[in-house]
Amino acid sequence: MNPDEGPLRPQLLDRFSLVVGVEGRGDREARAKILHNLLEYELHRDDPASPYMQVLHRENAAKRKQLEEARKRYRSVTVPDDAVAACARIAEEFHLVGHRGEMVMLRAARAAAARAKRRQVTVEDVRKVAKPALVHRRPNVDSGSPRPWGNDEEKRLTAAVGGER
Amino acid sequence: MNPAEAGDLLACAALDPALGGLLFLDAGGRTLDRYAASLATAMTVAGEPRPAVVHLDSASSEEELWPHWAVAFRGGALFARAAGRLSEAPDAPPPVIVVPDLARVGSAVLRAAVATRGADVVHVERHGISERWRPAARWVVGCARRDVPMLSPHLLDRFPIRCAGPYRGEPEVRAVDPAARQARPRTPPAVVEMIARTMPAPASTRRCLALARTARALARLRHGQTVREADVVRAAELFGLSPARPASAPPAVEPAPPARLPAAASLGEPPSVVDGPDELAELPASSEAQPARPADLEPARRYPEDDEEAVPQPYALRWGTPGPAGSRITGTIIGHDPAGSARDLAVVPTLLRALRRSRLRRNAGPLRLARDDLRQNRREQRSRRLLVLVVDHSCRRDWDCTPGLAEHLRWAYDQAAAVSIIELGHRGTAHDLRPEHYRARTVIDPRLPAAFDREPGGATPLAAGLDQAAQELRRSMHRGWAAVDVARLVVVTDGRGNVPLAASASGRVTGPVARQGIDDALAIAAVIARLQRVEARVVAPDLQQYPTLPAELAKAMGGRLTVVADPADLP
Repeated sequence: MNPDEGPLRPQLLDRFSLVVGVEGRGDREARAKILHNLLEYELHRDDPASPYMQVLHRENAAKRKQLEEARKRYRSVTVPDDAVAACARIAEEFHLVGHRGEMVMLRAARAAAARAKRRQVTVEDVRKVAKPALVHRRPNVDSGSPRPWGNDEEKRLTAAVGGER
Repeated sequence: MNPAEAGDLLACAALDPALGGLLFLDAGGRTLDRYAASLATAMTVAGEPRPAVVHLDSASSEEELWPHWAVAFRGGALFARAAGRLSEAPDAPPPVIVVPDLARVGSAVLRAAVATRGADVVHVERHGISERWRPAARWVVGCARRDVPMLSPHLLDRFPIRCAGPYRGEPEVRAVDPAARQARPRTPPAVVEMIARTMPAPASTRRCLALARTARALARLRHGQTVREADVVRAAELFGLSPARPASAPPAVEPAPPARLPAAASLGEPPSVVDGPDELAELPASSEAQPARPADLEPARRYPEDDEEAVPQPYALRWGTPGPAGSRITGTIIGHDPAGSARDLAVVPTLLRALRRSRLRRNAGPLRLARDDLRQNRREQRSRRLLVLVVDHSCRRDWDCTPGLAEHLRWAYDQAAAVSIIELGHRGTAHDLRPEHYRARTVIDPRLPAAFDREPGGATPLAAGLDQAAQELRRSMHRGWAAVDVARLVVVTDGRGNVPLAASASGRVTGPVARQGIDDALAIAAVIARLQRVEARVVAPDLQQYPTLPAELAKAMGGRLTVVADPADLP
């Protein structure tokens, strides 16, 4: 969604599992790298047989294969009680309305474990996925847009994951 | 912008569709038409049709812009698929889209610009129609420099190439030859790094990319195999920037491509073309930037949205606001443009143009209208929300009313509401017995802060102020092609009006006024209470004398009272 097109209602936002903000990179090195990659891509994109595009296709295929393998592993990844408890504590700490937030957190943590080729979800997996799962599920300011996620949220998240009250 | 610079920019835009977002600052409709025609000329490929020039305006709707169903009566079918004005067909050259005023065009056009400008692919799903194309349309848009900061940053990011006036002379249109179209110059890492250094913070990635693509297009125009620093210098000039110099010395020979990339020879470049000498060799090696450029070319002048005080309109791309929705044609006529459709035709300008042209055409007999004669109204866009603010300065003294106004100003900001301000009872007023009234397009108008920083006067023409507010509400909501759906009336006052309505009308007070000013105000408040879709609020100081007057006024208006205590009075 484009923030300039206006906010979404909370009940609609709640239907989207994960939310990721897209921001530009300000540092010069990253900027130069983005420019370089895009210019090279534009140079070759109309020639799928070019070595440059072949490299990109191979990288895409490898990523696809990784994801397909992770998808096969997903069902066999187990969720221990401490990961479930961490989800519940985070949900309580962030005053989530409904239960989609913690369900999404658990599923995303499970997917992260599957991608990392692990058999079991860890509390750290839960911590990593908490921000995209929660950023749009907190009570909004009156404009209706999700509030930014800052240091305060990180501290609360760390405390909730660690079981600190 | 001189003709040579304009010619270079248009040639670059003609060569690379990704450079097809040109924003002309403070340019009139005729200037835009001229540049759009020159761009269409530069885009024209020999033996192929000339690109169409499409004008979009404040009345352009989603239905018009995108593929849709139209009544056809063809082949036994009642409806047939019709192309939208932004549709691009594979067998036709991409169009040149002209938007005369980006700040006053409807939300359908703004959203289309954001969605298509710079996108790799356009995918339309509407009413069972599914179409895809790679967008290559070029956009030539105009906007007043003062209006730029109010536009959506996402929208402005789609128009990274800014052209600044004065627009003297005809652009020197450069021929884009087949060799230039086929050229695929590489951009060496050192040049990429120079580009990243040339574009000052807080430039977006799109803006940096536009600079890089412009340098590449300039290299293509000279049939180069490599983008050189001289190309970046020229591109920076066209962008009004001072070119930076890469940290490393310029390479004497063309750099070898990275290991993972194909050799340049495999890219199908014309083998007969060889790069000339590097023009940048004369630049001082120690300096990172060139001397300051004329003020007109400074980046701040071309990118007013970078100013720290620039505040864009909230949710500027929200559907239906602030422009007219669907087929509703609203807004004051502020000019006219070439007509893109038969909607909202400007009759007199159309007839005048046809009359002028009929002499050139040497038509005998009755006046005939040609398609080119048609002119369409350009309209001032209005928000669907209105905040009417009545500020009685005589009650303010040392009292700060802004805490009570914050929620209403925030509402106006969030809703992109137009603001109508009525001030009364201040020392600098032109007439003590009459209120002053002015309108602002948004709450971020610079006149608004000044409205809370005036010295209180002696007279309080509250009744006249409320009367003016009632007229404004009626005019905006209940008359003619009114556009406002919801209005909020906020009256900052202690309720002690001491100027009767008749005195405000005549401009002089005859005899004692007693309670007449207050009674008149209450009577008009009762009129306001009968207006539909108006939310009334009174913001009042916490006074010992006549503390019930603000409550009486709020009750008469059918509104809510907020009493804001002076912090100095708090225990």
